[in-house]
Amino acid sequence: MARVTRAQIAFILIGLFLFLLPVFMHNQYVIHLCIMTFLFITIAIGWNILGGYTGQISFGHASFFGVGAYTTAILWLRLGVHPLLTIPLGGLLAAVFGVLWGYPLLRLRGYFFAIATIGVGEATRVLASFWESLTGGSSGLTLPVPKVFSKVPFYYEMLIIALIVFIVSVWAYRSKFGLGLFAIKDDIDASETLGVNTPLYKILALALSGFIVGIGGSFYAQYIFYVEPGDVFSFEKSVNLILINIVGGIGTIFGPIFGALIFLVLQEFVLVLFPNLHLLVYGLLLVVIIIYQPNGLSGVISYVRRKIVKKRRRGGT
Amino acid sequence: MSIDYLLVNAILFGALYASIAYGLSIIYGVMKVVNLAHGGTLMLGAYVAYTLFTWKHVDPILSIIIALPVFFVLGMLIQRYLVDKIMNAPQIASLLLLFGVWLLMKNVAYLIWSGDEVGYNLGYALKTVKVFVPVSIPRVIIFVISIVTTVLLLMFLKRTYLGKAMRALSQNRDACSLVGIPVNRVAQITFGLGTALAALGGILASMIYSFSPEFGGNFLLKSFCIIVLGGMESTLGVIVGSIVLSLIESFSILVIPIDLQEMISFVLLVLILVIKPTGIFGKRATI
Repeated sequence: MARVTRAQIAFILIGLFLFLLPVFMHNQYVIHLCIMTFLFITIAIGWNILGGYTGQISFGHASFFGVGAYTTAILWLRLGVHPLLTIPLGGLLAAVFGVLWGYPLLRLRGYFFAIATIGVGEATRVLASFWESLTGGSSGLTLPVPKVFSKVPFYYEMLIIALIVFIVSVWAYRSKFGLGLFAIKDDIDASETLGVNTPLYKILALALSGFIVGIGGSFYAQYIFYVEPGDVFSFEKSVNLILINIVGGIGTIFGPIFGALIFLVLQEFVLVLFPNLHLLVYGLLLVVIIIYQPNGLSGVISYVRRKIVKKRRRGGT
Repeated sequence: MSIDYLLVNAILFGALYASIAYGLSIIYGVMKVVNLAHGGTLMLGAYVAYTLFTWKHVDPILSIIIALPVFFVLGMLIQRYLVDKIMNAPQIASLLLLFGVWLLMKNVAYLIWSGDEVGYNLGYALKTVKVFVPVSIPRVIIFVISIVTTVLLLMFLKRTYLGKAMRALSQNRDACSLVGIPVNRVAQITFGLGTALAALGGILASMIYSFSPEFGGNFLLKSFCIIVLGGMESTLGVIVGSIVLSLIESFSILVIPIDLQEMISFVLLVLILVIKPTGIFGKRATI
């Protein structure tokens, strides 16, 4: 019999719990919060594959989110394609879009890539506002809201997407592909010398990253029933993805999950009390984490675990 | 739109762009840190000029003299207590750290000045002088101050001990400590100078633009485009980069819809980074 690890049991139990949650939880607000958490986890994982695994920090991931969202909106509104079918298409278009700008820009290193992605995000937003015939301009597109509206189908839709994306990210973390990405992050020249095809790996990471965030955007459009460039392409969306990952632990498997949970709690419960301070809180979090604990919450947890193990050993002898 | 108008316009804007970009350029040149808080500093500079003007009718030219020492100290503190702590971390850490500082600056601005778009009306804002074509007086003042700044900055870098130490630091940090240059102190002064120059740029920009706490992001990208155009390292490169960018922006009005103007600096940045990453002069490969 194959060995089942504790982590796998925990994963299955949590998954089961989440699948059963809507059965006994009828509070629409809680369901909504869960959906948003799954969405944030998904797109944060997407960002993490490029920013965390590969070390290519992007300030422009909102462009993927927006491309996914607009793909769904336009296909649904103009061609009547069923929204569920547009999800993979949204991801695919976002990936293609990513390859288009990634091909030239991924040659840049460190800073230069990061700054150039600020430009990508801004340029995409400006273009989306300008191209009125396709995108409805800066006033956006309103999608048909059905007469009977329940959040539960969306809950399951997003939960399944998030679970699949999470499994993909674990696979990417452990596979040869993932090792290549981490090698690029650690030392691009050395990994090239050792035979990692760095341009290919980087562009694949960007495509996968874009695909996942695009899926998130596509879901977002059909859940919110409204897309506008100032929202889906906003710099703030890109920044949120960075924040979530930094808080949770950049380049770790659970980082995006921890980060998204903290982010949602912050946004929904803490910052509603102090609406004028959210940038201050984000900025402080960034500064403190970068200086004192670059691995975020994941770093704190593994530090505490090591301490406990040490203590036990000392107590046992 | 006549050609001479566009040309004068481009030169005036080029001077403004240069003084906005110096701060980013000097910090990058000496410390190899991209100051993402640059946009925030521009914005704060603009608000300081605004406050002094609306409160006591202080002319922005005078505000420059009042504000620069304050921003100089602010920059030194940022270097000493934040950036210096992560000098050994991966490059990207300082980028994210300074981005956090930018967010803090934005929030401070929201708290003090709210999110409204503001501007102030100089008494002489609507008067013009004729420099081939009619030009409003604030823009002439901006041009003159930019030129003065450029001359002073060049003289400082070439003639003074501190300026030479900065240039030495930009070439080789380790060798500097070997020959007894107080590296940390010079780094702090550099960050202070860069921040003060950014504030100067912000004050100049506030004379002709309206602004909100979100102001500055656009200019961050433009400044970066400029220093990449100029080859990353040199002050002269910044001047050339600024003029190239402003020429392209001004004349693009003839062929590109005005709504897409914001994209020009970005497209230019990408083109240069991809085609000729060493800048227009192309002396050194710094990427």
